[in-house]
Amino acid sequence: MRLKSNSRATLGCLVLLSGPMLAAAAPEKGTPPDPDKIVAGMCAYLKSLDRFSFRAEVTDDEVYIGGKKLQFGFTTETFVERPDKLRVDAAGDLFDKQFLFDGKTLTLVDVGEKVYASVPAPGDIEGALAKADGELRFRVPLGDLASVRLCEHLAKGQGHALFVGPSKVGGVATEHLAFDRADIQFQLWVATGDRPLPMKILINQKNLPAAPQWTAVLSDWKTAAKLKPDTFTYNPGPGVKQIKFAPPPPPPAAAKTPDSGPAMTPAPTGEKP
Amino acid sequence: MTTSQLKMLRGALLVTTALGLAGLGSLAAARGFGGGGFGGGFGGGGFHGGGGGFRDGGFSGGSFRDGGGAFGGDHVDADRSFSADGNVNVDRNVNVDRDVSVDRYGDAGVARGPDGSFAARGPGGDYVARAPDGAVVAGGPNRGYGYGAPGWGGYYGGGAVAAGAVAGLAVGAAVASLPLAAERVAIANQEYYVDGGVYYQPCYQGAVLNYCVVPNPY
Repeated sequence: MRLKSNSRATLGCLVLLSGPMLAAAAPEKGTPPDPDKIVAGMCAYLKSLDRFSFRAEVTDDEVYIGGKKLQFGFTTETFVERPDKLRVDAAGDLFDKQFLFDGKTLTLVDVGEKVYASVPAPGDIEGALAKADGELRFRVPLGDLASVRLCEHLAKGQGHALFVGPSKVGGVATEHLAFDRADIQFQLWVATGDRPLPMKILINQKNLPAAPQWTAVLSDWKTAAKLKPDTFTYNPGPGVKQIKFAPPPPPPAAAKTPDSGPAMTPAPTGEKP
Repeated sequence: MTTSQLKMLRGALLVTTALGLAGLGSLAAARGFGGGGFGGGFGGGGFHGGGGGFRDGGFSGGSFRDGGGAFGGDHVDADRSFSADGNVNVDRNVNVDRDVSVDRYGDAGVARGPDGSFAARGPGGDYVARAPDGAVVAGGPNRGYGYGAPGWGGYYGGGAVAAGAVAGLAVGAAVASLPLAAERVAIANQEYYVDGGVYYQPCYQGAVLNYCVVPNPY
């Protein structure tokens, strides 16, 4: 039935195609825009900005027994100054954290718990994000948008790419794109026009149980943001204590010890151990 | 271009592209027709890798690096019955265990599993970021009013290792919450929590604030 209606829709749309497609300045009549080109344009534009800031409303699925999901939310504020300054404030249902990088030091602050940890991280933004990812085992929400290697990260292992269609996000005209990778499926809504900024990002952890999704709606893009010099350097207030990052985990093979066994097992009955 | 034209255009593009990308089967859920469905145009199948997530309440979720917020690698042979067409089928297991009562009402930022404590998580975070930790954090100060999901339990909550129940936690191990009996002590200008001869200090595991077992300072 659905196929039938789809076919009808296809036929109907094909009739309409010539008009709308011309209006959309598509490269070729009847051919959808190339999603990879749109993303490349977005990456190039972001890369061209010396400094920018934006806000994001994020929702994240938490998975529970039986594949039930709850959605929690947080808001981020991101400040970028190339090549080596990044700050992300992220506060919401489950945490209130800040990530700061000033070209010398990387700091993760738990605002709610009044603790922070810092490590030296000389280099650029990508270097700091890679250090957080590889050594410290965390990632900075939407931090990749500040990386000069954004498009490399996006494209890694990419399979299918799909131009879904025009869409509006918060009133902004965008192009809705979808990409399939071995590890995740993600969708981007990229603003049309001469400022091809990401307006919405959805990451689907398709390989994880219940396929949790992480969605960010971006707004308040300021591409000539005036940032105070102390935006990126952390100054702990009174009562804030310094802690350490736990040592890096053992290699994966070692992680599969009997000790970690129980945590790997779903709880089928909830019997007390 | 009118709105309806846009919609039609979108539908046409989706369908034509989907036809090229995937079999007819995925059309059923194609966005714009199915309404809210996933899987538009993506054939799925052949899932591998992924898993092993950051369990930090979604903080690390917004990344395109390998695993996109979940560390790739070994581990979770994610439920093989998991639909290969990309559709989300949440309620596959209906028998939710209601005995796993996670305490989401605590005021200490700590949620406890059925055994009264929570999970020593493998430092690698072998599982979904959203698993036991979601439960843990949800009990924290920000969720202290009983909202959330009492009785749902983390996905792997039943497998949690009780911090207090584990004899001889090794230095370098970490727990999401301290044993109830842990006392705070100050030694040489440093703060510790001690219980049964095991000393803890708060630490970050990834972006998650946990308690690391540290050497006896004496």
